[in-house]
Amino acid sequence: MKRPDLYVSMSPHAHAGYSTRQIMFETILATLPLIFAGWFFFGWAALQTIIVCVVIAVLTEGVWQKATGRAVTIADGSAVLTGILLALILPPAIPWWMALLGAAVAILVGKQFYGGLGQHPFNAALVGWAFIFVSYQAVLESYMMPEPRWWLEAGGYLEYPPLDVLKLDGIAAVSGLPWADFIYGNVPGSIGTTSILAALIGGVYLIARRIVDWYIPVCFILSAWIFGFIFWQIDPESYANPTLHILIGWIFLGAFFLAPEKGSSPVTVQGMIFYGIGCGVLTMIFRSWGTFVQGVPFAILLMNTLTPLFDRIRPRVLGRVKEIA
Amino acid sequence: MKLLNIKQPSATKQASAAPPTIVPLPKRVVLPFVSPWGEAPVLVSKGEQVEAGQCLAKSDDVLVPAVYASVSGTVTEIKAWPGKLGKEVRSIIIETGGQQSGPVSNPKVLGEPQEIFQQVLAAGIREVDSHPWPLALRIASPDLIASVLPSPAGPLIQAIETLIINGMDRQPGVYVRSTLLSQQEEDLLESIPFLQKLSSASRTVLAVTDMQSVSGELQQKLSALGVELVRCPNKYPLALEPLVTQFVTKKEVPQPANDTRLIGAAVLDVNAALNISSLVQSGRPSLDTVIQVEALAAGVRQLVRAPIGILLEDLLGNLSGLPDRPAKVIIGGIFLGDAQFSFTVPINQETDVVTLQTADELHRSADEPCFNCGYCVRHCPMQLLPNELGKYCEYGKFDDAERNFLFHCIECGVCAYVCPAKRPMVQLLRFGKKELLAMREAS
Repeated sequence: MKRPDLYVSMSPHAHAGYSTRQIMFETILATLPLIFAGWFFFGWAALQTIIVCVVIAVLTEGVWQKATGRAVTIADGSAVLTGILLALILPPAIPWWMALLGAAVAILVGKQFYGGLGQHPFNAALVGWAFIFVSYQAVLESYMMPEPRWWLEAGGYLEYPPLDVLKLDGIAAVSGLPWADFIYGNVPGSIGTTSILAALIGGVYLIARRIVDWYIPVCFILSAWIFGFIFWQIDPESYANPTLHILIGWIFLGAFFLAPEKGSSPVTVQGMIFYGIGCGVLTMIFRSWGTFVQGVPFAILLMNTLTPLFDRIRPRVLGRVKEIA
Repeated sequence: MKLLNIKQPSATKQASAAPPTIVPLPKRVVLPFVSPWGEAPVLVSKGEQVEAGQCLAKSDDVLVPAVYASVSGTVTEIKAWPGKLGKEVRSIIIETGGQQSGPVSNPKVLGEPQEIFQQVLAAGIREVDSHPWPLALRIASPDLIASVLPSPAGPLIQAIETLIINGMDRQPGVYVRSTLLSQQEEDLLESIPFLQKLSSASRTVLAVTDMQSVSGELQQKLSALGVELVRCPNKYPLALEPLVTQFVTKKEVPQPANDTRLIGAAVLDVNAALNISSLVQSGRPSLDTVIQVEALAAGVRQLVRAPIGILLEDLLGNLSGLPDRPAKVIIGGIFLGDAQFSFTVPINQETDVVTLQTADELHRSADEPCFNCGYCVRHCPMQLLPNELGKYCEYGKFDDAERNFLFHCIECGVCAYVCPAKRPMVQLLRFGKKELLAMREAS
């Protein structure tokens, strides 16, 4: 009997209609406000850094996959996203070859050595950042002043990112500053970490599209605030206002873009809640008592290592009832 | 990008759907006599004339359902015939011809539970959902079962506390049950006292979704019969047996047995209840079945009533507006159904929907790696971790998969539906189950 030309496959025979690629591109879309903020405050230097990081990240991934005989998957957008995120946490005026090295390390060490997309234990962009941080620390201590376009006046009263000032000069140096500048990002700092507003716009978009579940960002920010609040209540002289803490950069970008990165964050709801709380608390611990100025990147990298443990906290499987008879 | 919330289409819109159109008598019907519980010995021989409603195969084993002729005609062959899972199934082939004599019908006034039970048991009603027990044994009280089985299995000794009539459609896009519920209210109501006598359940529930419209009149009549109307969220896969049972009784159905009798509940769907009602009314099993035929690209979506055992080609050949060259033919719906190899598959009461997809509508799974997004974990109705299970099965770590409750998976397909990497999750998990079963058998 002649068989009709029919496709045969396993159920289900329908799909919700989105792909890895679409999720990556929507996340890239969500970083556009941050890229805009970087250009708005730091000019073309910021865009240059972003372009270098993206091009090198994509090139590195393509060359590595070609060399190792794997399928080249640069079209899925994950390398572009890693490049953008890395650039967003670098100073705008970083020498181009440093950004280049950072992007190559992020893709190779952070992602491809572990087997590529989804298999890497650490957030790849943060691996690149950590590489630059330990190798060229001086660069991460010099930041250019914001020169906003058009109508906004430059907030020229800080020479260093507010976090550095808070750490090195004490609370008094930052407590009187206008919060509006922190929210806009009108302060020195890395390209994407200063503007809270831009990170919030992108983050709300991601949550509204359900690309990122709200558990990690909300737990991250809330737990950081609560932790800061407790110590602020105990001793307002030595601990800064918690609201100030979450507004002076990094936390919003970290909570919406870096911590919920798919490959390196837990998948169960309970795991995500603990992970978010861990990120928030560790950030505040590092900021309050740590040696380094930055709390967020190390907090996230450390929590990344705990992700497999958090994935053990799983929901109770239905039907695990003792069999009767 | 669609939001990741899978809702069933509203049933209220479908309630006004036209009654099922009746398909003309096909030239032949194919009646498989093999069921999950065994093969029924054939009572007829090749060349014999049979009448509609005549018993063709019947077993002494009460678990094995009997087979009845759905048309009058000649038995031309008894041989293996391709079934809907691609495997060949032993079947009786009847060529229709001559006078379609009115099927023998001798309605009796049934009063005693024992009589009803015997009649339902003999009718061999088949169902769309796969159940651990055939209908009659599943919904009968332990006393009745003891009268036919000397030593019934553990779950069948359990008394039934809750009898659930499932009026919810199995999956998005299907509206057979909700339409039958609204169009055959009277028949359904008629079956309820019999069901209550059969099961001696203390609580009878009609489960519908919160989108389905139930007329006030029906609600009154239901409450007069002591039936509770339970509205469930209109979310796939809540209509599947273990989940609807858990929603109604607040008790988890033990897995992997998937047997609601273990927690004192029995579930039957509206189709089965209507079959029992027609059995009681006419004194013989129902000879036809209602099927939804769907070809969304061509805008076809209708209900048809066809004799049991009609071949897919005869069913589709009688309908207009269908695509000429469908790329995929699915029996059993887009979430739970099986794609077919051929158009010669017989359709019986186990089929509720036939879907035709064109090449544009096809979902193709991909060989992309899992990137740990966790959508499947957050959507799994059984609260499993499909991402891990899928990887275990893909790389042959079947023992790990089993330790992580692979056999609790009810194969609803939600994980594959939401997977952005388009991994063939159901295929991987079924593969794992099959390998494990084969290993168990070998050891």
